[in-house]
Amino acid sequence: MSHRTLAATGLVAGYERGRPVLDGASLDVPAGRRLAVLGANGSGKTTLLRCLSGALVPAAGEVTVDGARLGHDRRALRAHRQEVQLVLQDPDDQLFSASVTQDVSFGPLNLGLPEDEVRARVAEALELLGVGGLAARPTHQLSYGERKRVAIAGAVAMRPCVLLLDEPTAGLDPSAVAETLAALGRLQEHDATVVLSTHDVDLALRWADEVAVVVDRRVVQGSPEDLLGDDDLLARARLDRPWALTVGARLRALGLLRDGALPRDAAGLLAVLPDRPLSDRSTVPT
Amino acid sequence: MTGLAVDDAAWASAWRRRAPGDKVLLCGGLVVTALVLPAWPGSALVAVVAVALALGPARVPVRTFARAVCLPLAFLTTGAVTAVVEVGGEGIGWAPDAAVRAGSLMGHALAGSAAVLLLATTTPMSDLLPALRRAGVPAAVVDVASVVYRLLFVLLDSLRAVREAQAARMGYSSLRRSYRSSGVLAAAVLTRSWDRARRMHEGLTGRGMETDLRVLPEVLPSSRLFLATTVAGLAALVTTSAVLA
Repeated sequence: MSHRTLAATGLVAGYERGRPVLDGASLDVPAGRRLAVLGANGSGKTTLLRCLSGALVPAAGEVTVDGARLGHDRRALRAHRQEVQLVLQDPDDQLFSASVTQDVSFGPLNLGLPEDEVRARVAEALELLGVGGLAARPTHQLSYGERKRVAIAGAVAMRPCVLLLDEPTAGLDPSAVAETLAALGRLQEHDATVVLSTHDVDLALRWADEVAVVVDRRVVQGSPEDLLGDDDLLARARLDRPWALTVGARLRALGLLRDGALPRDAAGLLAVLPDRPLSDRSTVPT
Repeated sequence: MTGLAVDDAAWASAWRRRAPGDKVLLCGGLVVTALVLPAWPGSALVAVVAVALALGPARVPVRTFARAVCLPLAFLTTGAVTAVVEVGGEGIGWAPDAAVRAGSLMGHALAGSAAVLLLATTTPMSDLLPALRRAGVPAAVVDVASVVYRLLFVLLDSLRAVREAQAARMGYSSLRRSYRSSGVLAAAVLTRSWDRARRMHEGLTGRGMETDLRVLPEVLPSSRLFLATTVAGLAALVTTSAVLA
């Protein structure tokens, strides 16, 4: 997979009635990196991803790939979908076939690939998502988490440069979240740019290279530490501060952490904490 | 389990990996035999063979097969009654050969149904649909059947969830409330299916759908031994029927 620079500028988008969901939203998707799009329910995360995928035509503004404006005619969209794939939140919106293999083969066949190549891509996508063992299973007998990963495999089999995932961890138990994130990690090793939307700030902090917060119908983009440590922004976006930053800041105030970036998760915090009780210590760890 | 016993049986059947063409030949042959041979002993033999194959080598659960046969049995019984009752100048009465006609009709139809159910309980729809496409059935028909089959399970889930929510709030505590809740349930599932179809269309378009829903058929090689046994078995069935008759 080669890198493509996907961007949106001044997007105004919404649905039939009411004011626009996005009004002047701009976003740069960093090529080859992991971007988390954060926002409360109804903030416009899905609308933003749909605009980026070409599924929704914005009322104003533009989406560009490598600087070229995305058109919405059939030919332009066909080319765009080979580069950018959107995985919908509800896997049942995407899985239409009764068998896992058949469903995942749908996209590659639409690219006009020969059957042998399609079979290889289906096997590769299922392995990448850790669901190779489900290839012969009927889709309606899979668990919700399995269906989510099969739906992602359906997009991955098209080998897009940019993969957009709408709330891929919503409704999953912790082990399924871990499996999904591990699968996304494997995807990035294959050079894909991965964008996911979520309202889980803890997940965004530990997973993303960059975050974009959808707030007041616009997008604020930056590093996870900066944006997720900005209490004013989080309050406006109706999000909580990640617990790792809260606990990290408190530990630093107590002199238990040295200056620098705060750990992003439990493992990071544990790694920098002293390994002896405070009463045994005479100095702050360095 | 999905709630559709026949479908569950098909996915779990020992004949799941057999080529659909092989099974269509066997079951089609049994249906034709059931219709062409006399009800006794021909159709009876076909019914016995179909049930024995389903419960034996294909390992379809007895309960599933019995439940699946019950539904056509109800239709057949109704049909048989209309065939044996005669309306004449003296009013309504039994046809002179009522017992023979009813027996013949039921025999042919039940044996044919058993043969069709042998196919249905051993072959998932996802195997049959590509076979239909290869057999020349128009792509649009196969695509619609494919999406309907998939949505059936999604909507059944919706139906169950909404009904449980209604029942938990006393929606079925009286006949009147049941009528009302059933109506609301139907309306809810209708609007959900409409919305679901719209979102599914978007999902499929995103994966490059332009005209049809082409998918990779599973490779299930045909077995010469199975085909030879099928032909020999059908011939033996016809011969046995002729001898017994």
